[in-house]
Amino acid sequence: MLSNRGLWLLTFHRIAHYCLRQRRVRNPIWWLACLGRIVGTCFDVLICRSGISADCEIAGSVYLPNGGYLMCGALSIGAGTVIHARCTFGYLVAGGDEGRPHIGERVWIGPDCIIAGALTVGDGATLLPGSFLSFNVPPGAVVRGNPGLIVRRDFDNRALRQSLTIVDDVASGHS
Amino acid sequence: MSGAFVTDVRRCAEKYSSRKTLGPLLLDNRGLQALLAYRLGRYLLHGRHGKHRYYAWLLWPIGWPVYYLLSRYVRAAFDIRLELSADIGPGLYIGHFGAIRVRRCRIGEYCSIGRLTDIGPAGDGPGPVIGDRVWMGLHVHILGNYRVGSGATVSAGTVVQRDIPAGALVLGNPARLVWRNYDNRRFL
Repeated sequence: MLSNRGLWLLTFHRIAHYCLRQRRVRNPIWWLACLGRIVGTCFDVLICRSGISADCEIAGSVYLPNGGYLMCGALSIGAGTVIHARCTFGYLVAGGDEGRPHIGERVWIGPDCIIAGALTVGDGATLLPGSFLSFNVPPGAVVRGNPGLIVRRDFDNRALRQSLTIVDDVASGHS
Repeated sequence: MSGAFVTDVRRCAEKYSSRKTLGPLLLDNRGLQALLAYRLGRYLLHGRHGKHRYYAWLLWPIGWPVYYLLSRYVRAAFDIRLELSADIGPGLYIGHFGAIRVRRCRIGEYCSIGRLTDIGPAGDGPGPVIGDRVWMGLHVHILGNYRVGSGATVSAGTVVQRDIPAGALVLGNPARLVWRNYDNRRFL
């Protein structure tokens, strides 16, 4: 479990999030957490090539990629979401700063996905690899392609979320 | 080449309102570190044609090892590869780090590139030619001998497989022209 880089990424995000939230406290634990945040930033950049904004609300049991290259500027990520490598959430796309997305629960996000703008991804949605999303997605929908297109309405992505190791091994080979 | 790097730093300083001096900018913007290595390498490579052509070689014993270390550091730490075969004009801005690969192409002045960008030739052919003040977002792939006109905007996630006229906005995979006269000065 210690060799899972996604779990380290999530751990360091929790420390950074604690740092940001409890910055009024200034007790020894907070200073320790600040130290951990610096270490975590170095780990994120140098090992994972990732960046997660400290104010992002990530719920429990979110799976972050081992392959790295994740730039997460989302405002919140729901429980049970699976995120793959080389994704970017919340970035300016041809028109300035367009806001930051909310990602729902049990969403499966494939590699090379871009989520741009202030939008909401519904619970249980599926983003197929390489899709570009700039609109609200209803729960259970499947999105593919660039520009994004909803191809199915009610799709159960439980099997996809449980078979994440296959894609992730492939993604780790990318360096 | 030092002039080009000064332009890069000025461009970067315009983007960051709070940090104006070289040290904080270099610490904060990893693209600037990559550009420092790239400009040094280009100076060493092409200094023999320039103003200092009679004594530029004096820099080589120090310059090439420093270039080697810097470029290896940038590649290992942030995965930004600006290869010396690329001809990049002054004032490039690299917003983020990670899987940026630029090789054997020509990029004009005051361009922007995002992360996970791949610019170069497909196979052995000639690389793309990109004009001035082109904004390229993240996940952009320009592979092959395509021409991107000055002032064009290549949106995020675009895979360019055709020539792009000047001032156009393209997006999608494969790239589609959606706007002919698009003003990108606002976010360039």
